[in-house]
Amino acid sequence: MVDKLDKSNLDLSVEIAGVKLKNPVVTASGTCGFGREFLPYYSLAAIGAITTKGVCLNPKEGNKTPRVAETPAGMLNAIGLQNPGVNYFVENELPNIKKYDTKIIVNIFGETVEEYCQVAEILSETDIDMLELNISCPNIKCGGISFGTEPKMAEEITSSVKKRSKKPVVVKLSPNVTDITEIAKAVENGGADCISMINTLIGMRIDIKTKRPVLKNNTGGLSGAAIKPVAVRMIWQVRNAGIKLPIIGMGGITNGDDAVELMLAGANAVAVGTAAFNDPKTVLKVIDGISDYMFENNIKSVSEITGAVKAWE
Amino acid sequence: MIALCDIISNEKMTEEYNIYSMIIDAPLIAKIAKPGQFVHVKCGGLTLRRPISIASAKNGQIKICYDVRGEGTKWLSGLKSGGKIDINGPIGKGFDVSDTSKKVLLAGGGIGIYPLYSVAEAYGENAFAVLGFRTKDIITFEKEFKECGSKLYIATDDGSYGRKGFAIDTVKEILDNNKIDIIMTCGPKIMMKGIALEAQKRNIRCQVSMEERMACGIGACLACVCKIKDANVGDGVLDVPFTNKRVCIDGPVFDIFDGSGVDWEW
Ligand SMILES: Cc1cc2nc3c(=O)[nH]c(=O)nc-3n(C[C@H](O)[C@H](O)[C@H](O)COP(=O)(O)OP(=O)(O)OC[C@H]3O[C@@H](n4cnc5c(N)ncnc54)[C@H](O)[C@@H]3O)c2cc1C
Ligand SMILES: Cc1cc2nc3c(=O)[nH]c(=O)nc-3n(C[C@H](O)[C@H](O)[C@H](O)COP(=O)(O)O)c2cc1C
Repeated sequence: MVDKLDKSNLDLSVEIAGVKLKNPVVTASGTCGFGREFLPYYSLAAIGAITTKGVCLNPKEGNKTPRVAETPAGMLNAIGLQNPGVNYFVENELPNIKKYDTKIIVNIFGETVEEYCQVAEILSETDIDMLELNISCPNIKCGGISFGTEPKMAEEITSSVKKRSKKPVVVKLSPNVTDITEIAKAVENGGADCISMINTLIGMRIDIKTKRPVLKNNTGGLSGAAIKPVAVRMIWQVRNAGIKLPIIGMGGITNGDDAVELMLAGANAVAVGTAAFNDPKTVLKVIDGISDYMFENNIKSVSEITGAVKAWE
Repeated sequence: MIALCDIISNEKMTEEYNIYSMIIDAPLIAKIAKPGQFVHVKCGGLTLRRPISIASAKNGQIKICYDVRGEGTKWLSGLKSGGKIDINGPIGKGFDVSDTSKKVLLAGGGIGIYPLYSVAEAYGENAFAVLGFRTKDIITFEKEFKECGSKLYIATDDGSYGRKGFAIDTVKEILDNNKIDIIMTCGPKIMMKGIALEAQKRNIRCQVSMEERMACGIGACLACVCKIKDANVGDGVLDVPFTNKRVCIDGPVFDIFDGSGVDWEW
């Protein structure tokens, strides 16, 4: 018999690609800007890491509005990757994040392999902890199909960035594929240090009165509670396919139990996105909820949860 | 700040239309709220909060008025006095009420009249208010604006009450006959555009309250952007490009100086 745990003795820390996070809860890219807006609600020091809004080489203005629409238990977004560019980030936003004792994951994207590499090089010279590649973007040199939907392209972008990055590379998988395990294997072959999953699922809403799509971009990415079962399934499939890389799981997490579900499926850490729009303090609730689960189930280290699902034969 | 507040009342304001007025006990929010700011309201189990302007803030209470459009506002309409409501606010930049000895012209359309009401309260007799509605049955707040001392003009699109036609016609008339220092407008984009361009013609400072679909309401997600020129009061609109501004925290009220300060086609 193990002695009952003391809540203050729980070990919530996780190590991902050599980076130690004080707890497994991070923010999801694009849902917390560069952290500033959440400061009235919690200190960035409370979370394992902040994942920034995606940045590319030059400033990008994004799509026309409406950029968002509510959907059952979720939302669609087509922000269009609006961002001030990597250099602005380094000069004006990074110093602010550095004031807090947390790890920094910078989400990056580009239109070409070369752009990803250039952004990675610039960030390699700064004091950040990890890069996260958003490979759900269109590759303009290949007719605009997304880097993340074709195994060869996913492998190429991963290996190219790995060659030129001095920081660990997390590759963020798109769920808009037939077989997620193929893409996961491809980025593992490409040398990824970690996988994050899932990005948004492409969806659409139409206003039946005007017969117009609700989003000006016509389609958008579905996120929020509605996509959680898809995230759980995909993480589980990737683990079952024998992929050993650490996984940052995301998709529809609103509380500690949701986070535990993704971890049982195989995630080492979790990210909270859309739920923060309704309650900016969701990350704190998730951290508390994971602790409660550990306490109630006599789990000493949070890593014990990872992959502990007992799947039916 | 996010607060779980007591609902004092939640009542329908018109017979024919589903426009409601809710009074909420929210001492901390009421204390710091400025005209033109809004609260972001949690609506049951919906994913996103809904932005609703603060129509009035006094004695530790705020009043919000809303038109039932879809699921969120429908949920709000079902709340009862004695119940609770979860609101985040006050949010955003409001209208300029730093010098209420100036003569202000308030031009509101539809639900856009509510944020202007607290401006009317501040300016008292120095405010001209032009309120435009589609038709007679939808008119609200006539008495309230009069009681603040505003010189009130009501226009209906169909002529069923007050002046027939759009608010802009009355606005022009008032500008022809009075010296107005500043114009403040909130309503449909097409109305605000007309009024802002009129302000430009006459070289009168103009503030507009923009509306875009929102998600986070705290400036993080970049959903509710509009295109605005950065202008400083007194400089006029600079010869600068439009930049993306967030309606939630850079606005909703923008001191655009005149009609050229907004990209109306965005
Ligand atoms: C800063 C700000 C202040 C506002 N103040 C008020 C107010 O004081 N009173 C009031 O009645 N309304 C106000 N609104 C509009 C209000 O937020 C929307 O009507 C509301 O969010 C609709 O939610 P719903 O779930 O009922 O409808 P939904 O099901 O979300 O939408 C129903 C229809 O309403 C329209 N709509 C939804 N959201 C918006 C939006 N953000 N902007 C424009 N159109 C929208 C769409 O055309 C949609 O088809 C304000 C909006 C903003 C941005
Ligand atoms: C408004 C919004 C903006 C987003 N922007 C980005 C982005 O810039 N880069 C990226 O990789 N993912 C982006 N995402 C995806 C999220 O990081 C996350 O993968 C997804 O929303 C699923 O998690 P959730 O259900 O908790 O939101 C965005 C999501 C939303 C809702």
